Amino acid sequence: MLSYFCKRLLAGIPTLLISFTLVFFIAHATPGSPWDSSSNRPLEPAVKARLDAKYHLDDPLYVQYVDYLAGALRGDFGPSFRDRTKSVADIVAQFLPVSLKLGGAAMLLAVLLGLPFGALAALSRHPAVDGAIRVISTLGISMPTYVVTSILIVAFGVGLGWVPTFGWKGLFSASSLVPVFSLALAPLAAVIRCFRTSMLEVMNLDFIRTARAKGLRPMTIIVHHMGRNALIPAVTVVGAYTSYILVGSFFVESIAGIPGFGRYFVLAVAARDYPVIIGTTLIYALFVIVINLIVDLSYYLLDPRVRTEHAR
Amino acid sequence: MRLSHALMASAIALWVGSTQSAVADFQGVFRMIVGEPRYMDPNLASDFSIYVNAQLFQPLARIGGDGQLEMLQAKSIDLGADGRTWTITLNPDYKWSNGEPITAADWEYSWKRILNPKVASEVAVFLSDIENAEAYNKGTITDASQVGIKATGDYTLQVVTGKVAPQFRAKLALPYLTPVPKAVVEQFGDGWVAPEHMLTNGPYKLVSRVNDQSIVMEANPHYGGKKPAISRIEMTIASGDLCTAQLRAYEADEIDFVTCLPSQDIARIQKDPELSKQLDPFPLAASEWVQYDMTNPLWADKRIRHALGLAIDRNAIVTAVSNGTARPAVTVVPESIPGGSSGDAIQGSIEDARKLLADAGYPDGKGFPQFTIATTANRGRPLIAQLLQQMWSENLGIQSTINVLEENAFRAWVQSRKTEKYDTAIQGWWSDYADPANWYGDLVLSDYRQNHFSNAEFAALVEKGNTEPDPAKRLEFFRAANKILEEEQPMSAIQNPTDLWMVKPHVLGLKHEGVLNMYHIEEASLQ
Amino acid sequence: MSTLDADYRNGGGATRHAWHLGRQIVHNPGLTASLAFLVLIVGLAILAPLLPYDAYRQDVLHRNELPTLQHWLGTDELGRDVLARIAVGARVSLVVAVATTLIAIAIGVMVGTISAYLGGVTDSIVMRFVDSMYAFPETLFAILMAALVKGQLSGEANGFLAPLVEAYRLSGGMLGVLLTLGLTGWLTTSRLVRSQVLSLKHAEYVLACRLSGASDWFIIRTHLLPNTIPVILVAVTLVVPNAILLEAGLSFIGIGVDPPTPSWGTMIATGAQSIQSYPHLLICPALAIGLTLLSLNVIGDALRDIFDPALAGAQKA
Repeated sequence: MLSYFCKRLLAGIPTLLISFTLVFFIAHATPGSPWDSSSNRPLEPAVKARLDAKYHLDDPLYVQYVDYLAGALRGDFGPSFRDRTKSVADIVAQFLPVSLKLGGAAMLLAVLLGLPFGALAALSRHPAVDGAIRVISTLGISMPTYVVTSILIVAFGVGLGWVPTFGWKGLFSASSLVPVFSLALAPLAAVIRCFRTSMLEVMNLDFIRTARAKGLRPMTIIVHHMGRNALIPAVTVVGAYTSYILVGSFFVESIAGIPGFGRYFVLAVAARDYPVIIGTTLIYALFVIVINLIVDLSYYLLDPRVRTEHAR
Repeated sequence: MRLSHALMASAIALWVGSTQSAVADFQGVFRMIVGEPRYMDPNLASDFSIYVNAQLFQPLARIGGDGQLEMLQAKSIDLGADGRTWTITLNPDYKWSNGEPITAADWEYSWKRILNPKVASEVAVFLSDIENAEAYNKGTITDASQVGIKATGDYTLQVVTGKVAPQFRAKLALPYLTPVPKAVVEQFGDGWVAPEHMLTNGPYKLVSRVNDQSIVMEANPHYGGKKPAISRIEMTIASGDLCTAQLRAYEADEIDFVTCLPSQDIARIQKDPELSKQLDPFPLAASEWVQYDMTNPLWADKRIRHALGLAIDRNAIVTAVSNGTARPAVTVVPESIPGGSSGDAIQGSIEDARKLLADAGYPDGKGFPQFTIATTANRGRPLIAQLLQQMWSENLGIQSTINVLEENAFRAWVQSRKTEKYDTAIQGWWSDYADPANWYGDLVLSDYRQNHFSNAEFAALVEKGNTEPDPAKRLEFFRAANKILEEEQPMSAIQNPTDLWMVKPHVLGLKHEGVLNMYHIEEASLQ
Repeated sequence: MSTLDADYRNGGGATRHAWHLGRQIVHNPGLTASLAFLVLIVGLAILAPLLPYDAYRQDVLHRNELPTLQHWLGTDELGRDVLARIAVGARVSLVVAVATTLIAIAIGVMVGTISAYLGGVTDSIVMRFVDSMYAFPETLFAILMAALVKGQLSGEANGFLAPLVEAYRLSGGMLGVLLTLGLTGWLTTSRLVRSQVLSLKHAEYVLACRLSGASDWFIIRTHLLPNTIPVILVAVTLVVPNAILLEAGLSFIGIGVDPPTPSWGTMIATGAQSIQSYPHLLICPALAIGLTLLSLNVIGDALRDIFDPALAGAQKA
């Protein structure tokens, strides 16, 4: 068991290395310069040359690659070119927590609403209830988040004045309502769809019939016997969404004015802030690897069959 | 499940609770949304960061309504008989935000820091008139003491220009040229701009700054000018669609001031009885045009450039892009710039344009190769490109494609046009100081937009204008240059943009200042 | 004998699947409505030139007009007919969806099959690579790629890029979107195909075939590939909606299709800016894309129910 996870963790190293290589060369091949700001005058070639020299951008690309890799291995991702007084580590430390909070809240909302609604859709005797939940959940993954966010902000912010139209005052403030809901929509829909399907599958298994025959309370059967077994596929879905929700959605963050990781990444791309582009991508890759591990670990905890398999 | 219900309930309770407490007391606070300033260091800021910076740092003077200098940090600015030596006496009433005096040494340090090649500041170009400034900045001389900037007393600064440079007077009022506290910068290096270290000479001091989130300023107690009526400024940082974010927040009463409007909302604001009163337009000394690659044989025939220029319906563009708030432009240099005159514009109807094109060998546009209109993705330029595309196709029968490039990629594209061929591009320029040299010299002669217009007569006239001390004679040179520029038509003017502010009725006295349309919150008050 | 076996399996499977699908259409009104809507959108795309208004024809004096009898869905910011633009935009979305799906499926099937069939070191290297690509945030990777592709292809033609640059210019920037989405979309396919091939590789009839001296290519072509078709279909149901959504997203932030070519994404971008003054400019394209994706998802659900019940519901948008 332990050796399996160690192996998985080690397999993450080449993954990170390939990610690093890809993003490094894609970023540097994109035309543009980190020093070009949106000022009226074009960047003086002499100024550009001097800045390039200062930050070693005039070295051959392979030298930069090796240098940057060596720095990254020591945990030094260099300064941000967009704000030269900050290091990439500062940027991550400042922007990642905002996205983590927002994404965590959205994921929580998706799971807390998704499981009961998914179960309701599966168990309801009324085809209308099932149908309504299915349509709404499919609509949830069919509407682009930027449309949803824009409409919600204009309706509830400008129109009704219930929530701020812009900015971030922390997770427990009205400013997080629209972004959390917009972010939660897609995973919510996915959790509902997935949990409904697996509940339907579990429903007809022998042990549920046995439990019914034993005369257990329906709620106990649903939660303890069915829910637990139907949870495993749902965990996969949650895992797939978690990494990208936690790291933050560019669309939601920039429309709602959330100073988060996703927005910063796109700003970094626009500003050709190579160290930040690379640093944030690596952090993201690390997230995906870790979350995949957690998902596997939760299989292990939830499903006795997986446990015996590994014990062997 | 029960636990999760409890969690959810408590989360909702927290949310609702904080919603109510969010309605705080905003008395005496001026709220706005700005873009993330690229630099807080005034020696480096050359883009729109200066609008934020201008609340913190102040130049020697500013240009008043009559075109004359109004003193700020300087008590007097005198030009010596040689036409090159400027003696600047500082006003000792102005102090750093910690109460320390601002000395001529600080100014000298700051300007030489701008020129220091290691600092690699884009502001350096505004000091290039000064003796040896360019050589020091380019690294051909390494001794900073040879540069013509010298503190000759605690409060006197002497600046010597390389040659007679009348336009230097306007540059002294540039918001880019401010002092930095020498001792603090030397102690903390790049980190001196952190709120805990930064000293300012302007009406406000920096209280806090969270990158990409917020900037808070409070009145500088040691400011030497009139004490600001507004004691606190809270700026929220937006990225992406700044105008949309501003207008939404403004309509929800979250901010007091809007610096631009989304093009699609202008008509609604103009029709609204309340909002239209809060609209505050400012005609900018700026232009947008379509330019032809003058080294491309496609445009070698002047008649073709004239035909394309005449076939543009400028009123339609202005209507579609800004609901008529921008002004149709027939000449590249705006009328408000000395030398500019709409009378120099090429004359003719669409019929004339067709005839010119036919004379050039392309009757009804037949045989004219399809070409590309390149443009940046922002500022309504893609809309202009689509309108031009249809006008040229309908009026002249010539076909084009549009290439929209993301902003940074477009800049890189423009830079690489120095050596590479292209067809046409939509470009713009705004005055960064109120002098014709800024247009005929910087824009056209220095070829900042890679137009590749070269005309010996034009160049000679501008050169003469740049060094002529007599204002009347100077104007003559630029007037003549303007005629050549329009007749040669390397660029076809489209419009002069207008800035659209919106100011809440409870904000009084917020004024537009200078060609850059700066705002100075210290002049305003809240009712 | 083995060929016969495979043919039987495929043929029988196809008939059975078709029968299932037919039954679903009859019994599932949602599926019927979805198919009808897709037919409508495809019809609109095909018949776009026959509409009374030209999608490119500007009329500055009649811009941002609300829906009227002449302009059923109103006019846009340059006075162009919104219905006509949605129709042409549907072409863009469909071309993007079909073409990127083809690119993605081609790469995905190739990589998945080769990786699984060869196994060993090749497999681990390829799968590490796929893992790394997965570790990229998809939208963000597409943004990076789009900036790169657009930046490289929109300049002057030189060297080996010349034909690509020309194609880019002629496609109105669509080629950039296609390349970007094709290059990011093949991952899921390759994983699905790989696992399918892995499970088939050791099937008795494949082993028998190999023992009888058949070449690798013969085995892949006649046994493995045909049997991955259901998996590929499942992959298509995942890739198509995603491609439409991503194209719209790229166009939304201004690095997608070049104007004046209408795309649902650019229309939504304009709409989102106009939402306070002219809501119909957002609602119309948003409904077009929302309902199209809804229909595709419903159809995808049905197909997955038939081909691969284990995957049903577990999809990443």
